[in-house]
Amino acid sequence: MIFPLLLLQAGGSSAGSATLASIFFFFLKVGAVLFGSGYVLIAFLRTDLVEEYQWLTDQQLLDAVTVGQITPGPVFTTATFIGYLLAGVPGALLATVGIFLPAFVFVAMSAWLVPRMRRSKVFGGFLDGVNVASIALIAWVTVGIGRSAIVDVPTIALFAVSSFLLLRFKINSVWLILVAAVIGLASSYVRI
Amino acid sequence: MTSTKTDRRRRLRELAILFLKLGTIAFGGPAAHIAMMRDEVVEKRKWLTDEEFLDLNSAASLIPGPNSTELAIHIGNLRAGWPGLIVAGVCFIVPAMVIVLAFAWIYVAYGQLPQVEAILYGIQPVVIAIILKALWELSKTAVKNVWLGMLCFVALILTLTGINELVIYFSGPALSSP
Repeated sequence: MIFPLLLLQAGGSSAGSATLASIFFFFLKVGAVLFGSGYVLIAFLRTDLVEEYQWLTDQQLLDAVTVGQITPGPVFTTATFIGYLLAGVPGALLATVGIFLPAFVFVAMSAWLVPRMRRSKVFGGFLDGVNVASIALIAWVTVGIGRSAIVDVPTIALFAVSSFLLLRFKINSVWLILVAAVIGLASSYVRI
Repeated sequence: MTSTKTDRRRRLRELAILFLKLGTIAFGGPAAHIAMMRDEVVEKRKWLTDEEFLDLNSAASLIPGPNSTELAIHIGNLRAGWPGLIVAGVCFIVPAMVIVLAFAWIYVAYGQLPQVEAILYGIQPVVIAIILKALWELSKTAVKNVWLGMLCFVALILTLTGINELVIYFSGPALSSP
């Protein structure tokens, strides 16, 4: 039932050759081969979407990646944005399904391995090694975010107060984020 | 039979609510997602231990695709089998997708992105605090001995060189095996 739909020519101004099927399969490929946590997405997409297929301009790609990063949830929703630019809502949905589908398949295939690796002495040691490497990577990413996020007295204060509340009162991070969003909004009116 | 059925339904509902919430408010990228998921599933709900959480995170890092989304999918799978796998993943993705769709609509209709700097200005320092807290707790579990502490340090040095993260993931185990 979906197949005839996939063959429809996609609308949209910048998308000369982007059909719904080609959008879906492009993002399926990205989801299936791209390692990492979304931080490497831009280089990968630029080579194909801007240079090879010329579906997007550099500016559109930058904006798409920015949106994936500044919105909550997975960074790979950049695909949703690009899909919409290329072929409206159907393009957005197919791009999203395409880029995330492999994640479900890979986890379904590999999940049984994890407890077995942990029980094995050799592979348990392997996991220990990957675990500390993950900690190091997260730490480094955090330094990067921190340098652009903690820049003046109000942001230092927000950081200090939220650290205190998290450690001392084990307050739920959801509430902290919501309050911080309101403070951020309010501060923009104060500064104007 | 009925009790396990209602139990599973309850677990699926818990997964759906948790990941819809995280999908809506988990700003700050994968590191922040991992920290907030830890806060919810290890500390608050005690569904997993820190070590199980770290192992799932590593498993997600070693397969292609978005790490933090795969971590959510792993947690759903552990909690409620394959229906949990789907529920957790879809619920984490869909709110973010809807928000991005709204941004895309505004972008096409008005030629610019909505201005969210003010919101991020407030949120980001808090996100850093959330990540640092999770890092602190997780490192207490991950860095089991002096040797693993040294590995962590080596991995940190390697990240500074901008080397591919897969190389870093495998550098730890490579150095730790005799």
